[in-house]
Amino acid sequence: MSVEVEAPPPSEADADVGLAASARPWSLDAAVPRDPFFWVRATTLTAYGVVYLWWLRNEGLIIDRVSVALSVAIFLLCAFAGKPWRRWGLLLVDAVLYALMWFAYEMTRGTADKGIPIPFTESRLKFPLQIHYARNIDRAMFFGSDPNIWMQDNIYDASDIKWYDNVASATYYTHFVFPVVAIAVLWAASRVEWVRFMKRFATLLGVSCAMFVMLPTAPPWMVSSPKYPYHLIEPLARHTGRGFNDLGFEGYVKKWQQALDWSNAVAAMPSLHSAFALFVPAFFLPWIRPRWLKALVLVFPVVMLTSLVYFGEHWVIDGIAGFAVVGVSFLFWNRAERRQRRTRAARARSAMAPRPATS
Amino acid sequence: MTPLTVLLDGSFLDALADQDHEFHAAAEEIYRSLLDSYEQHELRVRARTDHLRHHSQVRRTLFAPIETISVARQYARAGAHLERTADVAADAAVTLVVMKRERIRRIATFDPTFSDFDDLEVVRRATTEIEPPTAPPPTES
Repeated sequence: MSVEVEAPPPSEADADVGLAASARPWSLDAAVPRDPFFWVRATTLTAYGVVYLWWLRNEGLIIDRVSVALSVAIFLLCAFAGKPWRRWGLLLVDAVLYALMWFAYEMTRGTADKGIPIPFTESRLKFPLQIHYARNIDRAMFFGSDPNIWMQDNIYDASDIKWYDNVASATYYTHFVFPVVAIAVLWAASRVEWVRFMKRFATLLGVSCAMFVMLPTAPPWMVSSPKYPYHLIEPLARHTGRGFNDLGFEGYVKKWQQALDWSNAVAAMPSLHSAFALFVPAFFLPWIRPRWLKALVLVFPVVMLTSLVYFGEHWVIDGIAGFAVVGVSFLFWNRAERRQRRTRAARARSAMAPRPATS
Repeated sequence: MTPLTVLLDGSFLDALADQDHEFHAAAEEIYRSLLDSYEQHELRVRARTDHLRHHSQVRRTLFAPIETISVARQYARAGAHLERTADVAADAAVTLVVMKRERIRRIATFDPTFSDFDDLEVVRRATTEIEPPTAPPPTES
């Protein structure tokens, strides 16, 4: 930053421009009383945290979208207690848009495998299911072998749960928590940052949905399963919950999840598990100072993709595509925001008199 | 990364918008530096909506980069309380409340009140040379 920022005491030059201080050094924290609702928020948020952990231990990790939305709503009620009405109004508008985004995403994703209804007609827009291409790309990248099969053949033990099963499973389940926690905390802490996050996030969901519709892709577990007619590779074990359950946790899914029927087994390309695992660290990366910590944080998406391949949930290329969509989303919005800042700064400069030439 | 925030006080906005203001040159110089940092996403510039309201003609030009902070009724009430208890002018009291509630610690201002606070940083000119006040024209007697 090129601006000099100083604390008092003022200099003679300051006095010339009207910054002379009186003889009473004060502290803003001491002079201005604390927001009387601060303790209300602190207490309710602490209680929320305790209940959330209790729920996680006894009922399971909240996974389904409706229960997650309810838990976020309760968090926001606690975090916004006593805030000005205008902030509540903005929160309401934001929450409606947020809910619409998720609803549009779930509806599109959920109906992509059945075909998108074309308005005013009986027909549906449905693209052919892709069986081979993802596997072929993986085989090309890994010199003719299938990473899913290789991992399950070499490190999976059906009779024993290893430490890496716990790590992989816990990593897999963070997908249902990390983005939502990031969104909720940003919502409460800084609306500007929340908006920056959500623009990128909505772009990621939008692009992914378009790909789910246009490129329905059978995941490894499906093409290996005897229940389906493909039999492309040998049967794979789907053991995502095994390590998580071994740690003493369950996934909490309320009945309405099944009632809504938002599942889509062929929404594999791109992998949103991988995408979210990169998205959240990438957004917060500029806040992190130590390089080793930056590097450590970026290991997380790699662990996620490895876990997904190990579980037979995704092809490697699905994860890479997920990372690529995150990259595109960040690139687009970073450029757009930079352009907006430049435009506004240029407008401000042009409104000022030209800077006098220095000799 | 969340950039630093600088609050532009009413006195600063007035000086910046009015070319005949005695501190106009100083305000412009500070503002140019702020714009450089704003452009690099190192800084957010914010101002109270009620202060900006007086400058609606330059809102989309000179003040285009400025984000608004709405002065909520609870801020105004807390400001009135501060005015009564701490001998601070009404407008400065509200600004102090806004800064505390919005967690802002930097301010561009020509109001000396804010220099009294040792946990506030008042944005100054990068150069310390101040143009000497223009001498009044000699009067003919």
